[in-house]
Amino acid sequence: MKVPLGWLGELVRLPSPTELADKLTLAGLEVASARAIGVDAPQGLRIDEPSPPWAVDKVLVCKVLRVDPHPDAEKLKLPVVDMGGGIEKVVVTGAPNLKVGDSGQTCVIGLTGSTLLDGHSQTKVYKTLAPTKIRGVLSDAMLCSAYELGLSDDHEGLLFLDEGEGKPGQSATSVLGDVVLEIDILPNMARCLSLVGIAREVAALTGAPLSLPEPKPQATGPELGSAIGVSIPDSSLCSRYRAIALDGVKVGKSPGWMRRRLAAAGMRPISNVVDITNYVMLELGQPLHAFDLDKLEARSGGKPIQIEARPARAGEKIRTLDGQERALEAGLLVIADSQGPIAVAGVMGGAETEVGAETTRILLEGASFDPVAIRRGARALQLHSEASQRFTRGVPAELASMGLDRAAELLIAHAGATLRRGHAEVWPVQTQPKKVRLPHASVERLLGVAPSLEKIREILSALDFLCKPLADGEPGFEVEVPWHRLDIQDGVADLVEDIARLWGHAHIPARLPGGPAPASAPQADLEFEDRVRDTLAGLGLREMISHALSCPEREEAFVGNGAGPAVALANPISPDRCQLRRSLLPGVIEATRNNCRHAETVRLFEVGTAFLTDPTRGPFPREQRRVSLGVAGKRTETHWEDGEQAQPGYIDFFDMKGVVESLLAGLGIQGAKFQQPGTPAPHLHPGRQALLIGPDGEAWGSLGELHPRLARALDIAQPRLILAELELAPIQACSKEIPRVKPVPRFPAALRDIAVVVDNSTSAGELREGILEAGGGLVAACRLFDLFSGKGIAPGKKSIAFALGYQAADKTLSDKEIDQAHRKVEDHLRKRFGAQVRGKDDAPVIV
Amino acid sequence: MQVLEDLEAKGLAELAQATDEALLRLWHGNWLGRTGHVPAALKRVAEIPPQERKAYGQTANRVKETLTGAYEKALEREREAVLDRELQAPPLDPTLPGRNAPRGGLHPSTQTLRRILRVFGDLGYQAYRSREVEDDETNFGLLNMPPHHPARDMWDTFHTTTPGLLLRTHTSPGQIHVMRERAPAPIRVVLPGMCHRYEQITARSEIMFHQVEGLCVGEGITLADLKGTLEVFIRRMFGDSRQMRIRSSYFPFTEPSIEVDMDCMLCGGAGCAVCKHSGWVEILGAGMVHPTVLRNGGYDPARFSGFAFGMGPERITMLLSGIDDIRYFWGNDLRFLGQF
Ligand SMILES: [Zn+2]
Repeated sequence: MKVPLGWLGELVRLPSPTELADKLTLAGLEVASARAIGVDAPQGLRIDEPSPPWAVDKVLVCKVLRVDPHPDAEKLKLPVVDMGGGIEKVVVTGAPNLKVGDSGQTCVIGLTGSTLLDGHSQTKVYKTLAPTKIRGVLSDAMLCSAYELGLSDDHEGLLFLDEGEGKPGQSATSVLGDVVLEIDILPNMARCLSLVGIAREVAALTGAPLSLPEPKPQATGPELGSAIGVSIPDSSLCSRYRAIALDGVKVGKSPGWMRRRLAAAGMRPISNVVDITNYVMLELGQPLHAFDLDKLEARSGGKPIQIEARPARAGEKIRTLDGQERALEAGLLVIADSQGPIAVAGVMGGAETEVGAETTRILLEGASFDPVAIRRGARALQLHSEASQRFTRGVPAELASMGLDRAAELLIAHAGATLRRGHAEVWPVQTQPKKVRLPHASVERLLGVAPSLEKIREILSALDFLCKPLADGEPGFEVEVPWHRLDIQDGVADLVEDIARLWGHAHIPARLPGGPAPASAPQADLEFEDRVRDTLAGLGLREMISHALSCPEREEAFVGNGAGPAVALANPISPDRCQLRRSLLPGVIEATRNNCRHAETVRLFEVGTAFLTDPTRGPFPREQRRVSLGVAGKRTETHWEDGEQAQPGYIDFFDMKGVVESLLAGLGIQGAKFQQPGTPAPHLHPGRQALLIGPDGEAWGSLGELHPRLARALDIAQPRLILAELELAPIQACSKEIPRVKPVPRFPAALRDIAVVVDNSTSAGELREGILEAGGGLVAACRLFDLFSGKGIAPGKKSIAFALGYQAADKTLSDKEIDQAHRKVEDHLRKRFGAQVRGKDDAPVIV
Repeated sequence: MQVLEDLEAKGLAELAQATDEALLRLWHGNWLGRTGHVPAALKRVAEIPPQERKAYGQTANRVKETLTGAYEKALEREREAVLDRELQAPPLDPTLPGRNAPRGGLHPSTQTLRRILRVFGDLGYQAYRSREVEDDETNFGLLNMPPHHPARDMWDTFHTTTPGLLLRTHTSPGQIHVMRERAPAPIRVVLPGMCHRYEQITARSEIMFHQVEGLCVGEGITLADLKGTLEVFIRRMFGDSRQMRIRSSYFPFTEPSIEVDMDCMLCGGAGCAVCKHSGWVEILGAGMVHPTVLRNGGYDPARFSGFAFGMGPERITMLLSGIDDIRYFWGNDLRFLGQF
């Protein structure tokens, strides 16, 4: 809400703008920014549209004495103005609203050296006036438009002050200068969507007295009688509807001060009738609506006008003030007469009964509507007006008559209107003031400390609360809530908030909660995830976090059959973010690819959620925590000592397998296996992937090289992008945070190599298992150190070699024992895998 | 005997010719090895007439000792010389690039989250995770925002195609889950998690961000306890000299509600773009748990009270590290991430 301080200052005495802003901000009315008009910008605030202040001796009020024609230019005129103190000045102007022969207008004149907005520039730029010759006539001053002064966007002609606004020679600052505060109004502060509401807060905060408008319009027109009837079928939708009528209205411009205040408050001045309703809304917070009474009468065809606030009926339509024809959803709250809707209640009026230039008689509506109904209406029509903004947050019923009286007073004064006696009104249920029991102890119970009862009474009274001592003698008050405090909901807590707010939070001491901290085990999965992150970071991977919102195209290749449909958004911000992800891989791939453009090596991981739907488990998706990894690029960065030719090689499947193995080791997991999947994962290279199987036999996820076709489609330049995605919960179930320690071997290990030739289909893992099995516990280490096929090896076969470490826990093994064990291993491999042990049972070499 | 004397002289002379360790070892093989000249000479003792044998043996052993001693000395001298040369070689250029050791690391949000959780962990708060896809009731209704409550406009919400199901707009629904799980036991938890808002993605706003909510419920919990807790947090997180300011505010689920500002670290309070020229930056929102919310969580507001607070790790990271664009956080550019 934009609050011109000149206006607010009429309602309550103000401290300096900076002090005021500070007090309001601390009290929950945050001043977001300020705008200075003609005066110095207040300190300590963000300034909107910074502008230089008007020089007090160079931007002045003057009065036009006469307007002479320009000798050479028809469009230009030479006004002669009274500068006060008997000084006259001739200026040049081309303004259309000043004609040769005019006199008596009060204007603002800018003298040489004053800095004002440049009216000739397309953009907002400031220009310091210097003497120039315009068509042979020397000009060292100019008469200003509202635009040039920064008052509004009005650039059509000169700004004329109203009669009595400023004397010749007076500085323009003293008449027009102002500071406008932009205040963020929180939902519970809806009462401050009005100058009066803010003034009440200021008065309570500073102790300054309030002087609020007390409108007492003189009704001199004929009695309204039964010409207008009002009805409300459902008082829960509209708690009060009141209408008054005014005759003899002359629609025209509203006075300058009103137009300037509306402009400063961010509303465009339109006509006196519209401006006055807006002015009252800003001042008191009561939105009003003016109907053309003649048009209403014409619709009723001579019968009394019957106004009704009711839900729209199916099929009803209305053309609103903005010219749009709108179909009304059944149930929307409308104002209707016998012919149908004439306004969407609290949102926008209808075009058919609109007040126009020809209007002379108006019906003025002041009502209190149900916030939810107005919210629905504004939503349905996508119309969010200043009025609907106030109604959706609640306008007290008590305000309707005050708003109408204030508007009538202004219409009489500024639109020549005559107020008819009487009014039409329905106010079915007049609510009784709410009463809250506020024991002194309840304040301390929430704040930890309490001001004295006297202080509490002072604070609450300043906000119009009525405090009576509690009848049962307990220290404290029975507090009567004033009508303008619709936000008081729960009673005690609301009042305590006001007490803390106005007393000042600085009075509240800082303590720590007493008593023992509640005991319960920490969430193990959060700690486990941290171990995963730390282990991977320790292995040289960088953690990333990507958007959880994805789209079907992006996910298509990465989602297994079991995932089920995605959680789709009803209101996505864009088609590529229309559903929750079911895999972290697309994000990991994107980040890996993007980083490969500028990094030699990319190693990334993300710990995050995949959202999997499962209709058997109710409406909520399964939020499955996963870790996903992406690595690509050079295995190590090239180093100068390796020379130009040395190629460190590119990351491949086995780099990723190493990372996963180290991760599992870091998590205390033994016995996980890497297997060829029965059905290859479609997003991975069919021949370069593995399934990770936990020791419990559960599949934990897969790893492998991104399918080359996908890589090409995704425009990935790196030779290989290796991915892994693992589900965390089953890994956590097998993870040991605290290991059981085995003694460190005290006796040396004896090394023996074994090289065998086996079928290509025999996997290294099987052989290794065979060796460990046959070793009968004596094989403490089994390291594969050589693998080859081709030259010297029969087709379909491969040679594979392991270095075995034989070791016993309780003694040094003798050569004989080692030989025996080694023979057992050899025999087992022969029998189980048809292996030929190289160097012992070599077959004839086939070249 | 002369043969042995000659052997010794010849051995010493040849030893003198051995100019490096390899030659010395070769010499050792030739002279003192199993088949070398000296063992051969020692074996010849059998051919010596018995009366001379003793003297021969003694001399031969002396020769062996002499040559062994000379060899060891020469070897030691040679090694010393080699070491000396090595030590006198010109020093390496320490400005040459080191061999790259891959450096991993945690996302800045994770790092800030951990710092926050550590401070509250020390104060006895435990982390608690609740779901990210919520229902309308828990995200709004039970938090004192029935349907059509104007405060709902404070959160622009992503709704799913399942009616009533939405992406949580804040971690506050976790308060309901925790309370319902633990009532009537006292609670001290922090709820970290990802939240979602329907926004345009700009330098200042994202559709996804972390939040850490704190909740303390028990008997006799007051606003003063909240103030003290937040003061400890701000000092621990931002430094002992930081000033804190409390403003009244509004959240539907707390009453009284406050917002906590800290003096601007960038301008020291003088005013800059980050603090909107006020000298203060907003750090977190907080308040006393609204009686309705306590009731919805299973706590009788006449007996129990509590406070809650919420903050954004990304926002705090931006303040601490001088980041001016929130889009960096999910952009995953290693040139950004690598700075943490
Ligand atoms: Zn600053």
